[in-house]
Amino acid sequence: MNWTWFHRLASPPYLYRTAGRLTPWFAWPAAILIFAGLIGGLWLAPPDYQQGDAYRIMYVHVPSAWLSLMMYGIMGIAGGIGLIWRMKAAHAVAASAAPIGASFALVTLVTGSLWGKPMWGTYWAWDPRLTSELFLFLLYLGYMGLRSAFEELQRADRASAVLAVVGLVDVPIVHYSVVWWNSLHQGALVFLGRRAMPFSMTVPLMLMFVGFTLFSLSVLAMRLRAEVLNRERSARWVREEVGA
Amino acid sequence: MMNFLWMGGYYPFVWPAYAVTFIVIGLNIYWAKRLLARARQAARRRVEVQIDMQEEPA
Repeated sequence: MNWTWFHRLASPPYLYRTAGRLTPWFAWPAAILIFAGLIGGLWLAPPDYQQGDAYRIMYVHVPSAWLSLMMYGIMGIAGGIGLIWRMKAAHAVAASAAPIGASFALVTLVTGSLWGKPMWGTYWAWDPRLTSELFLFLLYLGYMGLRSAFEELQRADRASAVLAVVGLVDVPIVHYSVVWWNSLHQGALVFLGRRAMPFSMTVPLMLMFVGFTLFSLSVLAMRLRAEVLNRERSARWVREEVGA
Repeated sequence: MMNFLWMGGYYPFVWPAYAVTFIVIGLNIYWAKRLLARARQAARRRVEVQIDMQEEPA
């Protein structure tokens, strides 16, 4: 397998320019897919026979939960790459992913509580899925707090990367908590081709899923460009890039 | 329309969930754009200072 593309991403100017080129290719399809998913989820999908219209919270809750896990995965893997290969660009990716993941972990908790109240009769329960998601949110806060505690960037990169890698263990726990333990939370809705919902409900969910993923990648690309610019403050390519 | 907004009586849960999600989406876009604009501005200022220092007579 040719790994040239991967090695080229280690170059800050290449990473900065690639992220800039990719941003609109992520952002516009994301806007279209989220809009289509909203129409499908709020208007076209029929009410659920058990949950009525309350299940429509799923169209924002499930993609947000996915983003909170995906961003942690990106953060942990990038942190690991940064630690092992001492690749500065990987640390920049990890640092850029954290605020996005934290914000969507918070959305997952809030929308989950709003869904839980009419279905379970409570906003919060110390259930394995809810607790592990809360722990994921706290890991994000810990990661960002740890980064800001160091004045020297390299030390902040290394220390936060260790936390990101160690915290990766929570990602499968969040995902499989409904399988491993007796949980108040419902199981997977769509898993490896087996659907627990009719087509008219699944399609808007898939649209939102892909839309949210592309949206998060567009925001990640913008944050990454800012992070790279701040790190490469004295590099010659920055002068050409900012056009001063 | 009222039926749609009523959400089968679940409107106090459905609409706040959507509102929170789209506020966070909007904030993510705003923060990322502001971060990038500030980084570019800071980089431009640094480059201008470097140029000024190079042009100053010894």
